[in-house]
This record gives sequence, structure tokens and C-alpha cells, in this order.
Amino acid sequence: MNNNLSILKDIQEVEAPDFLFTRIKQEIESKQYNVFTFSTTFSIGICLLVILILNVSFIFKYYEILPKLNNNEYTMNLMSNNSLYNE
Amino acid sequence: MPKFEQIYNEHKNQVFNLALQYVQNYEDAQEITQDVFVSIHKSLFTFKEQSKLSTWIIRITINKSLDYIKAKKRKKRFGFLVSILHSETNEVIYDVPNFNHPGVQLESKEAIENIFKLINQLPDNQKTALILSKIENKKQAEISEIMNISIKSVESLIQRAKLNLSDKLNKPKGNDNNIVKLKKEVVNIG
Repeated sequence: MNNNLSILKDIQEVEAPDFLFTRIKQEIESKQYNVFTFSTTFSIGICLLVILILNVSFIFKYYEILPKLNNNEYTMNLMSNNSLYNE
Repeated sequence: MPKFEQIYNEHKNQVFNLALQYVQNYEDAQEITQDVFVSIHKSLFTFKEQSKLSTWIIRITINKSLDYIKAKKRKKRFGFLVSILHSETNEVIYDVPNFNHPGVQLESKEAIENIFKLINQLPDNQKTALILSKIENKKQAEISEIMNISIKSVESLIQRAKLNLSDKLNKPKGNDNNIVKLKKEVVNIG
């Protein structure tokens, strides 16, 4: 096997093309101005959507429970205001 | 910390050639080299000098090369979902990978291409150890630093890679005449 692999030593070193640096600089500059990539924007959007859905579900749940709370107060004759005496 | 342009000039050939050994294609190696240096520019301030700069750069090159190969395989795998014909000209747009390694002389091209076909079938760590050892001519101590493993592990990887290559070379697959021809070519030139 070593004899077979020795052929790989014939591979010669190649010079990198000169225009590569220009392309690299262009890519770096384009990324510097593009702070919000697609993946960042998408992630932020998903997070906002989740927060919005949670808020909406909490609001709905609150309004579902609210009448039941008021009923309980009335039947147990609990006052919802601060007055000490029933008037 | 040296400037980015200085780092580029010092390491461009090393990165380009290492990428070439992984993909064996001139254009693909250019893309990988571009990705490597953009990545270096992005994370240069995070380099804490725990290893040599060249070691760090080689690691990035290896990872980018392996990622590039995996991405290409994924594209091929899901190619059936996308039309391979150009919408306007109806010409096939599927890019068949071709062996285009400018560092390989014409007389040994076929033999080296066949060896690379076998090397490409190795697991990533064996392939990396073999490329660094046999093509890049790195010492085992250097390879162990690059791959962040012990020297014994490097030895073991290289041995396993050679065994795997030997098995693949000796295993009859499909047309036996092609295998005999390949063995003759490799033995004659080697």
C-alpha cells in the first residue's frame, strides 16, 4: 500500500489565483453592510411571533377567568372595593 | 496580531492546496479558500493564540473543505426534487464533479485520480490524517496538534486508512477487468 500511496508525492504545489483576494475583500465588505442576515431576521421574527401568541393567549385566558372570579366574590359576599362596611 | 492581508499572503497557497487535496477541483478549491479567509477575517479577534496561527488556519481549512463536500453530497441526494434542465434553454444544468487538479501531471493523472476516488470514500478523520501525512508531508506531531488528538491516534488513523484503501483496492466490484487494470496502473507508476 505504501508503494501505491507514494505516487501522491508527485502532486505539485499550485499557486492560488491572484484575483481571489479581490473576491474575498468584496465578500467581506458586502457582509459588513449586511448586519441582518436572513437567518437573523427569521429568528427574530419567530421570537416576536411566539411572544405575541403567548401574550394573546394570556389575555384570552384572563378574560375567560374574570367572570368566574366576579361570581365567586358575589356568592361569598366578598367586596371588590376597599370599603369596610356594606352600604 | 499581523494584518489580514499579510496573513492572506503568507497562507493563501497552503490553504488553496489543502482545499485542492480534499476536492480535487480547481474551482471548488477557490470557493473553499474564499470561505476560509472570510471566516478568518470574521474570527481573527477571537484567536487567543493557544495554538500557532498556521495550525488554526489549517483547522479552518479542513472543516470548510469537509463541510463543502457534505453540502455537495446533499445537493446531489436531493437533486431529484429540482429540475435538472435550465428553464429557458432546456440544457442540463446539473454540475457533474470532475477531477481538475492542476498539481497533477498528465502522465500520472489517471492513477492519482483513481487513488483519490478511494481516498474520498474514507471516513473524514482517516482522510484528513492521510492527506496531511502523505500529500502535505506533515509530521505526526504536527498532525496531532492540527487534529487535536494524540500521536498514537494519528498513527492508528493512518494505519486504518491504509487498510481501508487496501481492502477497497483488493475488493472485486462490478467489472473485474477494471480493477485489474487499476491495480496494474497503480503498481506500475508507484
